[in-house]
Formats: sequence, structure tokens, C-alpha cells
Amino acid sequence: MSRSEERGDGRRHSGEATRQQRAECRRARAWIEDEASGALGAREVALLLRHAESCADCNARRGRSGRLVRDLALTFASVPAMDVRRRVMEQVLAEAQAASRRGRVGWRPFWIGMAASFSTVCLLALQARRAAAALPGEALAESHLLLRLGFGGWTALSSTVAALSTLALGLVDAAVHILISTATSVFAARHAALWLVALIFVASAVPVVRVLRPGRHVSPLRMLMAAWIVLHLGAGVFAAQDVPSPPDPPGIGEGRGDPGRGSIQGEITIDLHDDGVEGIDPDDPEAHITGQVKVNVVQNVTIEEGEVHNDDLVVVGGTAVIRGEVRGDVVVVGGKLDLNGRVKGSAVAFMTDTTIGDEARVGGDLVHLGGLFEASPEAKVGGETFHADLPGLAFGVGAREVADGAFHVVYLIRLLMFAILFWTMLIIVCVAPGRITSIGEALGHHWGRAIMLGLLAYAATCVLGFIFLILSLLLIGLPLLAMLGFAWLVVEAMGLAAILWLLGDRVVRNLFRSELAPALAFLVGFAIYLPTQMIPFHWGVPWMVMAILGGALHICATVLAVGLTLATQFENSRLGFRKSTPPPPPPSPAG
Amino acid sequence: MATHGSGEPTESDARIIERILAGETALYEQLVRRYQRLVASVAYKMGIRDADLEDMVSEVLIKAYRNLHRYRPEHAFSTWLYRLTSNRVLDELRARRRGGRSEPLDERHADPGPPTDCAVEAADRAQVVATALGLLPDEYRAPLVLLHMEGRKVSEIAYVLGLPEGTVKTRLARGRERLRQILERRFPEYTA
Repeated sequence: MSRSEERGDGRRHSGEATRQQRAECRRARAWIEDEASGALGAREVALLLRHAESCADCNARRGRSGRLVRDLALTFASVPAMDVRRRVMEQVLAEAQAASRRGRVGWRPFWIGMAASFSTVCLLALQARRAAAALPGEALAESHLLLRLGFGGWTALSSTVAALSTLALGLVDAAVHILISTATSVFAARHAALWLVALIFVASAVPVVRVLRPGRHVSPLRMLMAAWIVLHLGAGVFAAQDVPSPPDPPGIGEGRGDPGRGSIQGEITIDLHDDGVEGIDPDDPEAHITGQVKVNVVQNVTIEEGEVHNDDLVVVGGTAVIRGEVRGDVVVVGGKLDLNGRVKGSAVAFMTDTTIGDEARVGGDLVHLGGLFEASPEAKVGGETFHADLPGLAFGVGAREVADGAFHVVYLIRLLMFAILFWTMLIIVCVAPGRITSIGEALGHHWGRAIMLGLLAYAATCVLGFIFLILSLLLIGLPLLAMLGFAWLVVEAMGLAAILWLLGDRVVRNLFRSELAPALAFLVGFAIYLPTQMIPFHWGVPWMVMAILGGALHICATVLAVGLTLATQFENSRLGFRKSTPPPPPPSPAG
Repeated sequence: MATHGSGEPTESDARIIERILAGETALYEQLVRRYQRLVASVAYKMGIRDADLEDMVSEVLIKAYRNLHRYRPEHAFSTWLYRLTSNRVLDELRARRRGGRSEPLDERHADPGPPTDCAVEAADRAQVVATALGLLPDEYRAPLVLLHMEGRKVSEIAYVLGLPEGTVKTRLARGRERLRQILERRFPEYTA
């Protein structure tokens, strides 16, 4: 009905009907629409009919509406016939066959992986907490921070690996939860106040999934995932927040060799047939005389002036300040030695910054290997003085710095080797993509065999490498050694490229529902794998753990890769390794 | 068991889907046979024509297979297919408009002026309504097609289109009103 007709209707109504009638007409028009939509109840239909009998306009309107509805129902009475069965089934069966080739991964490894991840996190949390509780003074202060940061990093790493594994299993929803838990764990590990933020993040997991996947209800799986996240988070908070607060860092004079928390105190019974020290009477009750061999790890020790330590003193990774008397030997490894007192035995400093003051008196030998060495000409040494700068340590650096340097060198070597491996893999993927994808697809069926063969190959290569190394003394071993290294590189690169292709392909396929070219899928897999190999070496338990885990992961991946390549015989189809997938049943004839 | 089409006893959709998900992929053909006409019907009535229609039907049915694990039996399989089809068709129509591959369907832009006298004589009433329907905006055409041509209930249309029931009712009423206006302008003989 046009607007002019509407206005005409309105005028007629206003002229003919009362206000009540107009209201009835408005209600009747709404009913007419509902009736056309098939959404009018029987009672309303009866009322509408009664009104239409008394109102010609509404009756006409109802008639027009009914006619339009009838015409609409008759519209497109004949739809073009078509049969798309063959076309659809060809595609469907091809996809099913491809999925079958890729192999189905069940739920069991998923749950096992999650349980393993959570158990590892808990164990690490407990270990880290115990280690932190054992560290005194400034070491605790440092470790407290490192613990928090490191634990957050570790949680992120483990959760990311878990998430990527989950993606590979095709559970995008679960992966979303895990990624959220990663963020929450990192937050929670950084500061207690963010615990609330973490809770909000967890609580937002379900809405996030609802937004990402509208129309989906929260399944039991998601609830289990949420429970897992809470447990995961709890472990993070437990480790990060329940660590005892560090005391103020002690001054040099406050260390006093306190046999407090964390000092590894070995008590050795020795015969004290000492004739005393000049100026100090062992029987003097005012003199501070201790009678234990002290082995101090990551702890500062100070022997004050007037104080006598009646045994050997060993400090590892800490600072030894000697102003008083030590009646045994002094050994400092990887720390600092400030000697301006008396040592009856020998003083040995290994990779230690050493300062020998004017008042220093050493009854035995003074041995210094690596680190800074400053000795006053006024100092007196009864035996020999041996001082040597180890190669590479003569730059005025201390033990920790030296170790850091060594870490950097090892790290760079590792990166270099990884770069060589990457380029080898990339070349192989570009040259023989079909072979790489075939090897990757075989992983689902033959992972057990691949692991076994990989371990055997690893052991055999180690033995051969050792033999060739010996033979290289006769020169004949050198080419053999080079050939062995090259063969290992190719075999490892083929297998690892196949595994990384599989990882990248599954992640992209499950996340974006698309398929990448083999080289691109490999690059995606490599990008996922790369961060686990980029963890730098630093001091601190969490960093060490993460670096070791990264190395262990690479070793495991290498074993699997080598085994997979050997198990598939380089995917040489003539050898007939691959278990052929039975062809899908042909679609039944159309009809 | 139920009978379907030829009268032979057939498995329920839910049972077939269960078996397909368990690995009996070939059974999907039964679903294709049952519902290809339904998908084609909806796509055709919503404006997909000629060669595009077969592509659209195939695409929807393949998409349905890929997403079969997401189907929940709270709704009939046919309703779920309606949802997939209408979403895909609406996407296609929007893409065509963006790409300038189709004439604007809005009546205000499509109205070329008074029709010739023979326009109505040459077409029956259904043909006239079908032509007018093609000039409706997608948002109004989709619920009208589902309600009046496919016989779906308002609640089902709400699920299919992902809209509240109230919105669906409003669009139905406005759609009919717009359709009447188009018929009055372009085919005054129809309303005579």
C-alpha cells in the first residue's frame, strides 16, 4: 500500500471511526502482518476476523496481504533441476583421502601432553622455590627476580609448545584457552597485584571463544581446559609469589660466614695440633675461633680482623674477604678473593679476581689462575707464587664474566650451526618438496620406528665419529670425518624439514583453513620452532633450565628427524616403504 | 528409520552424520542426494542463477561436509543447511555488488520508470512477484524466501539468518511492504 493510500485510510478512519476503532485498526494491521508471517495465534485470528467483518479497509488490506502471500508461495514453483553428487563426492572423497594420509591424532597424546606440561611446571615451580629459599642475601634478591621472570618465560614457552601441539591436533578452541593461560601466567608471575588481572583473563576465556566462534556453546572439553588453565595458573602463582622475600643485601662485613640458609656445610673432623698464631691465643675466650672446614657455595665469607678460622676455607662463586687469620688453606673458585690477613696454608684462586693487600701473609703457596690479579709488593708469601692468565681470560674479567663469554661463544656456535641447518633444509624443501611432504606424512604412521632408528643412528654416528677422529691423526680420518658430518647434515635436514613442514602445514590448515606451498609451510614450522632454539645462555636457574630444555628439544627433534628419514628410506618409492592408503570407495552412480 | 523420497527405508540424518564422522565418508552422498535440491532451491530463489547456481550448490555442500563436525542436532540438518546456504548466498551477493558485477537490487535504484503494457500480459502473477522480489534488498528478500517459499517458521529463520525473532518479523513486514510498493510502481496492473 502506498503512502498516499495510507494517508487516505487515516483520513477516512479519523472521519468515520472513533478513537477506539482506530486503535483496533492499528492492532489489526499488526495482526495481518503476523498472520502473513504465520505467527498469529488462534485467538488473535478470531479477533482479526471479527474486526475485518466490521472494517472494510482492514478487510481489504488483509485480502491484499493474503493474495501476496499466495503469490509468493507460487513464485519459483519450478527450480532448475541439477545433480551435483558426482562433483561434490569427488571433492569430499579427495579431502577424506588427504586427511587419512595425514593421519588422525587421537585424544590420548593431547591429554598426555597436557599432563606432562603441567607436571613439569609444578616440578619446576617446586624446585625453583626450594632453590630460591636456599639462596642467601643478594643472591636471593637476584634469583627472586630471575625466578619470576624465568618462570614467566618458562610458562610462556611450555604453554606455547602445548598450544602449538594442540593446534596440530586441530583443537583451535583449546589453543585459544592455552594462549590465554600463557598470558595470565606471565602476568601472574611478574606481580601479585596482577593476579586479579589473571583471573579476569581466565574468566574472559569463554566470552573470547564465544566471540571467535559464535553460536557455539561451552562444551565439557572447554570446561576441562579451563580447569587446566586454573591449575596451570595456580602453579605459576605458587612459584612466583610464595618465594620468601629477600633480605637486604648484606655488606661485606656482614657476611661473616654465617652458616645460614643454603650454605653447604661439610663438617670434617680434623686434628687441631696447631701451635697457634702469632698474636692470637686459641684459648682466649675473646678471640673468634671457628673449627670447621667451610665450603661455601654462592656465599660471601668474611674473616674479620682478630678472627681466626682454624680450618680450610673454600668459597665457590662468592667473595672471600680475609682480614683475620685462616689456619688452613684458602681456595676460591669463580668469585673474588680479597686477602689482607694471614693464611697459614696455601691460597689458591681459580678464575677469581684476586687482591693481595699489604698485610697479606701466606704461609704456603699463592696460586692464581685466571681473573684479575693485584698483589702488593708488601705482601709476603712463604712458598711459591704462581700466577697465570689463562688464554682468553686476561682481559680483566672475572669468573662470571668469563663464563658469560663462554656462554656467548657456545650460543653463537649453536646459532651458526642452526643457520647452516636452516639453509640446508630450505634448499632441500625447494628442490624436493614432494619428497619432504611424503616423509612428513609418514610420521603419523611410523613415529615409533623413526625414534628407534634415530637412536641407533645417533649412537652409530657417535661411534663412527670417534673412530674417524682417531683416524684423523693419520690424516685418512679427515675425509671420512667430513663425509660423515655431511651425511648427517643431509639426513637430519631432510627429516627435520619434513617435521617442520608437517607442523607448519597443520597449524595453518587448522588456524586458517588454507593450504600453503611446502616451502611456505616449512617456513611457518621453522618460525614456530626457532624461538625454542634462540634461548640465550644466562645465569640463573630458569634461564639454564630453558636453555637446556631448548637443547634437549633439538636433540629429540634431531633423533626423530634422522630416524624418520632413514625409516622412510629418503622416501624412495621404489623401495616401497610407504604404507599405501586404501583407495576410497567410488561414489555410487548418480540416480 | 524413515522413508525418504523413493519410499525406501532410510537412516536418519543424525545417524548418517555420525557414521560419516566415524569415517564412512561415502555415506555423504546420501545427504547430498537428499538435500541438493533444497540448497539449489534456496540459492535460486535468493538470486543465484544459471551456471553460478551449480557452483553455489556444490560449494555449500562441500562446505557442509568440511564443517560436519560442527553440526549440532538441536536443529534439523536441513535448517543447518539453510543457514549455510543463505550465509553463502548473501556473501556472494554482497561480493557481486562490491565488484560491480550485479545490478543494484534496491528498488529505488532499479526502477527504470513506468513499464510497458505488455509487461504484465507476458508474465503470470508469480513471474511478476518473482521479478519484484529480485528488486528487494537482500536483507528483506532472504526472510521472505525462507518464510513464504520454503515454509520455514519465524524461529527457524531467526536461527538461519542469525537474527532475533523480533528483527525477523520486522524485516518480513517491511519486506512485504517494500514488495507491494515495487509492484504498485512497476506493475500497477498487478494491484489493480
